[in-house]
Amino acid sequence: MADYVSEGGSLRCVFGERLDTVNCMSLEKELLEKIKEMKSPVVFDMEKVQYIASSFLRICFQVTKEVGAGNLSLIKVNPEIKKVLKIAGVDKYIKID
Amino acid sequence: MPEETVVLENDISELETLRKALDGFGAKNSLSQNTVIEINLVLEEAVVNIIYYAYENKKERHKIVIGLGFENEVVVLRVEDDGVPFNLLHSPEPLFDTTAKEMKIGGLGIHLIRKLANSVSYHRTDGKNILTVQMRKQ
Repeated sequence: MADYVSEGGSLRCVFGERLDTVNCMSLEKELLEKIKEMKSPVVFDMEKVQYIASSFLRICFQVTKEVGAGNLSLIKVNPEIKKVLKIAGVDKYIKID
Repeated sequence: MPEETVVLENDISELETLRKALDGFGAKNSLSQNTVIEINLVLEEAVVNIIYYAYENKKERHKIVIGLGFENEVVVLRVEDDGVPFNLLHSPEPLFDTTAKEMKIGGLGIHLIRKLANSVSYHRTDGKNILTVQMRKQ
């Protein structure tokens, strides 16, 4: 569901094109296990992502609860995805570039 | 309205059927990729909500009927199900004034539908929930 790269004390998660409800069902468990195991700041690499559903927003909030505020950031986010993240209020809790 | 109808069953695997139907609807009507993405998101959230919460016995098969059409230049989406009465306009908004740790995760899908839509209306007729969503083309 995602590729994981440990770099510079952070865990970078690289996602595919669609983070819809079905894909997030399998991603959620895998990702949270990885994060609990690593216990480091987390970066979501959104370069390839074209679509997100609310299940991905839920993952963002769960990861923030796990790693603490300020320790999750989203990078390479396209404008349409940024719009959805802002509408959902994710940008109030998570750094988005 | 509707110009096209897509009939789904209350199974999460049907989201792929919905996605393909919307790609076809977008191509046929020359809709931008962003418009198709937002229509897909609104309908996915509405359908997921029905699949998860509308039926007490989730093993029973039910039909979810999606209507796709236009009124002038506005995209009109209609979602019809025979589940328990549910008016999403009465759902509380998520609380964004708490810390991330305190935040209750839930209701984000309905919040997205309300925010992405131009207008949302609901009525219950003949034992069916009918949700109508209008969206501007992007």
